[in-house]
Amino acid sequence: MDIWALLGIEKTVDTKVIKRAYAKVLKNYHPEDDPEGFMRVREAYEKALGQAKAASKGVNFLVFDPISFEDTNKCNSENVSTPKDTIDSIHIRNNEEKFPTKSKEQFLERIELLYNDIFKRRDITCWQDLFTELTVDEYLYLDEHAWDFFNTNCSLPYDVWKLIDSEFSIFEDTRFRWTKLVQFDFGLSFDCFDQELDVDYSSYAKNRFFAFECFIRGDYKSTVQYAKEAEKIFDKDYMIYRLKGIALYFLRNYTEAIEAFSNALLLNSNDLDILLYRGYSWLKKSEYEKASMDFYTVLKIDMDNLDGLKGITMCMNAKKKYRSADKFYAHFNKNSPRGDLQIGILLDQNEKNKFLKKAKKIINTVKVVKHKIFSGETAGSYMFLFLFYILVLPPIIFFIFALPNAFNIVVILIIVYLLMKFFKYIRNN
Amino acid sequence: MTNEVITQLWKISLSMTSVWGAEKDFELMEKFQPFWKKLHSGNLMITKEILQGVPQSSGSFFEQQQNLRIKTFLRDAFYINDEDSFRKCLTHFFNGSNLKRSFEDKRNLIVSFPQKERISYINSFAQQREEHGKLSIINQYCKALPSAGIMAYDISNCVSICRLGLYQGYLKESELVKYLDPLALRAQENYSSFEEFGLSSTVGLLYSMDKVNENAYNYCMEKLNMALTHPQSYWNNIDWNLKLS
Repeated sequence: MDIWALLGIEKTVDTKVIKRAYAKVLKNYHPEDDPEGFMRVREAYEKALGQAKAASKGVNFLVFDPISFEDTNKCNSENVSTPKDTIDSIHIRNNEEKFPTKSKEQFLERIELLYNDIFKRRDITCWQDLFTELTVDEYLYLDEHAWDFFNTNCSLPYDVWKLIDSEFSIFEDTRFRWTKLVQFDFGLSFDCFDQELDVDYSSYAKNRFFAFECFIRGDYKSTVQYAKEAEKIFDKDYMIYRLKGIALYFLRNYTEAIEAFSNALLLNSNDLDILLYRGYSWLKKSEYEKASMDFYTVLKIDMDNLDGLKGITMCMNAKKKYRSADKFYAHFNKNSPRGDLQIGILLDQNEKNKFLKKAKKIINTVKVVKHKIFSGETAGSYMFLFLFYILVLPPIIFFIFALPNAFNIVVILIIVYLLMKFFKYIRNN
Repeated sequence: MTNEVITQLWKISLSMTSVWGAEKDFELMEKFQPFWKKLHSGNLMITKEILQGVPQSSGSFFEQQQNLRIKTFLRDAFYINDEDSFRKCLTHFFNGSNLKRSFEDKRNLIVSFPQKERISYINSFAQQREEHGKLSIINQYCKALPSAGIMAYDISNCVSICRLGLYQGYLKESELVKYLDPLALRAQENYSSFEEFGLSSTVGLLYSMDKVNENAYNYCMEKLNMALTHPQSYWNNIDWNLKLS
């Protein structure tokens, strides 16, 4: 069978392409399950690699020659071997045996060295160079263990991830945890890192990532601890204050949460999320004025922000400014695709409170007017009393005697009034 | 004695925002009215009826109908057909359901993102309607719920299942107390008020639905509103900070 067809690629002198194709095809041929298939693929790979290297030196290969992984430059057109001969000399595919421990350690050191340099790690060309320099063993080892290494060393920008995926198909590996998150850079930007400053960014980034990991596990106390460690190293990153603030918010430590959010806002004053969280922290502490200020700031930047509208509605309701609360609620309702449970309850309470407030207002007004009129203290009250007796009282008396049951109703009302006075007197005495 | 009664009512009131709801509890309060006056004057004891949350029917026909309705509800909502399945379901909610874990995992993830990345992440699921819906609910209520998240959903359904299990004969009264006590303490430790508990439980109910349309939302809203604002509601007449032990 044609070696290129077996590897699934066009004839090429690009060793990288050959290695990649071999790694992919090898997944379908386990040496224990299908030793012959494994051998065929292995031979095809060695042949292809040999031809590619020879072509780069201007030599054409016609005959297969078993080339060891350690000695890829040897090529002898007179040696012919059969698959049967090479089965015995090929070890079962076991990375521990073929990839000696010392070589593995040196190899891992190279990768870790690159990863630990916070600025080089984000440079795609550094990774491209590294992958190009890999030996076959190193390449196969990384292909097998990429998911493991990058599960714990994963703070990389998306273009580097795409490169790693193109080499090792890491996104297809279900053991790799971060497939969905890598395109968002985990929300942990490196923009604030200044190479000019003498800061141990690597340790900072590590602590920040640990804080992030603890947070997504729901371990908020550890999040705060790691965030504090990170802050000691570098205090110009608003992301760490944000993460710490939210963890404290969930721990109901609103005072410290507000402090963290305020620190974050000093570095990034327009982050709506941080403003909202601080606003809600103030709300939890019943500091409605301060909460309102934060929500107003959010609404100035984004007037349709639902969290901001919700927050300001809650503040207005708490301050008993029901008309303003209604206004913001109407705006919220217009922009919200579905309702909101909190706002719905508030609105109901609003309606009841508004009714009570109106009723109280009416009763107070009547009391004040009654006192002013019947106290006889001012000229106005005398005038009103005169008008009352001349204009209002006669029609009332007329209707009492004109309407059939009105007289009876009035008598009953008077009796009830007198009884109430009597019981009040007895209770007081 | 009144304190003991109120404490028991506190515990069973946690089922008000469960899937079963509080309709039957309100019926019972209507039956024993004036419920709160009688309770405070020491003239009301907790009967099995009140514990179960199911009023006794006037005739055998209505009792049969009620029995059937409850059996059907338990089967359709919780796959409870017999005592075995009842015990499994109870354990599932008592130990913390998968729904709660899923809510927590997703919430912690999306809350850790800044706003722009969060919205991009949620929108990346636009083609998967159910997942997108769930993430949207989490995004809407993440600031309102405490760190316990929708634990209240598990607690309220567990209490509800216990009460209905008592009615069906799957659970004895002595066993009911063994479940109610730790559930009540757990609720008090993780939430600060009936309002917070009720909201968390209702958000859990919304989160458990495959699709949240206007009807579903109105249903949940009404349930929560009744529990929080009805003058006869347990939650309007008992203090959240009551000493339970």
